[in-house]
Amino acid sequence: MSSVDSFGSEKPRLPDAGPVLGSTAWPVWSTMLLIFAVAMVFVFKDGFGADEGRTRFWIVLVASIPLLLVIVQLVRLRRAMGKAELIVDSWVTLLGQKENFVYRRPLRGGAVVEKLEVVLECQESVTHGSGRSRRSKTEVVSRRELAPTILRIPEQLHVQIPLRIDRPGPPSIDIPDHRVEWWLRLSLTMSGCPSTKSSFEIQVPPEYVET
Amino acid sequence: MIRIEIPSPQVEVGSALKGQASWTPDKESKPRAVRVSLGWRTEGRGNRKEGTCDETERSDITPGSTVTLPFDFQVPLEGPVSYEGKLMKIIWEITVRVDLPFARDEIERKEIRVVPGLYRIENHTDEDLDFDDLDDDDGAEDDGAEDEPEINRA
Repeated sequence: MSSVDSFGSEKPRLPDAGPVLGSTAWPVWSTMLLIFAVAMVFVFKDGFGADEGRTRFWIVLVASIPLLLVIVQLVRLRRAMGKAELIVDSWVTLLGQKENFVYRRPLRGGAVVEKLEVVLECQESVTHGSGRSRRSKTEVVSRRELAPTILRIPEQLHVQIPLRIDRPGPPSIDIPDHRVEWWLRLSLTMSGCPSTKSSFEIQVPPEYVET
Repeated sequence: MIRIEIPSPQVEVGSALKGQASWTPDKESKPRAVRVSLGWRTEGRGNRKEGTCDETERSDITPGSTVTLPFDFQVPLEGPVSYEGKLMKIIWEITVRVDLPFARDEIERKEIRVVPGLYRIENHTDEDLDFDDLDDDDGAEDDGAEDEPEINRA
């Protein structure tokens, strides 16, 4: 997808890879807890004594509380903020090239950004084993905090993020079972709605511009 | 004995790597072929992977004579570049293999360093910039670009 800038030229937009609620752990664990509780209720269906129906109901109800909280947080967030996007000058960021990205997100219902942290991360990930014993490992190899500029626009969060990845990089690498990725990660501490995170993968080809 | 000669052990992506490999036999033997290849391999905690980018060979060999094999390989523009990180390493090397009948092949490797290259627009086609698969269906809800922004440092 692309966006038209003030000069009428089309700029690419990168989609947000989240995690929307700041972490994927809560949604995953709360769903697993509910599945576990439902499975337990059906597996041990004869083990709840005389008041069987009520006990089952309470087990499932209590186990569903974390997931309900996650859903409530998600609804509150979606009501207060639209989807984020990163507007970039080009689909790729060359080594040594000065970029000025724009993070844009609609704000509604009085949500206010209290604190914004923007970090550029380079991470390696490898996969070993095959089939069911296939495992992946990821490690952050470099992390740099960036200095964004927030433009106050009514009902919108508009952040300018200057960025440059110097040589030798490394550039992005994508070969089977081995990856080097660059990620722009934003942590938004909010008031009026739950805090959230955004992340965007930046493609860095193995080419540089002279500065 | 195998010798690999290259002008520099460092080469940029998208550029040519020229050099020469030579093999001097220890005795009167006639190899089936002498092959020179350029490729990369991984080391580290991931599954081992390797790739060959280019290869040249010579099979008309006079027994007992020194074989010289010049090469002119093209390092791919997309890399990967040589890399040494926490979990993985990408090693580029030139490999010379002397295929000897009824004997173990003679192999010699020379490591090179593949580094990012200077961006040149002529290296790219329009297809390089075709990223239609990245399109996202979420519409921008409002850009509010008409409002005058007030600048604030985060």
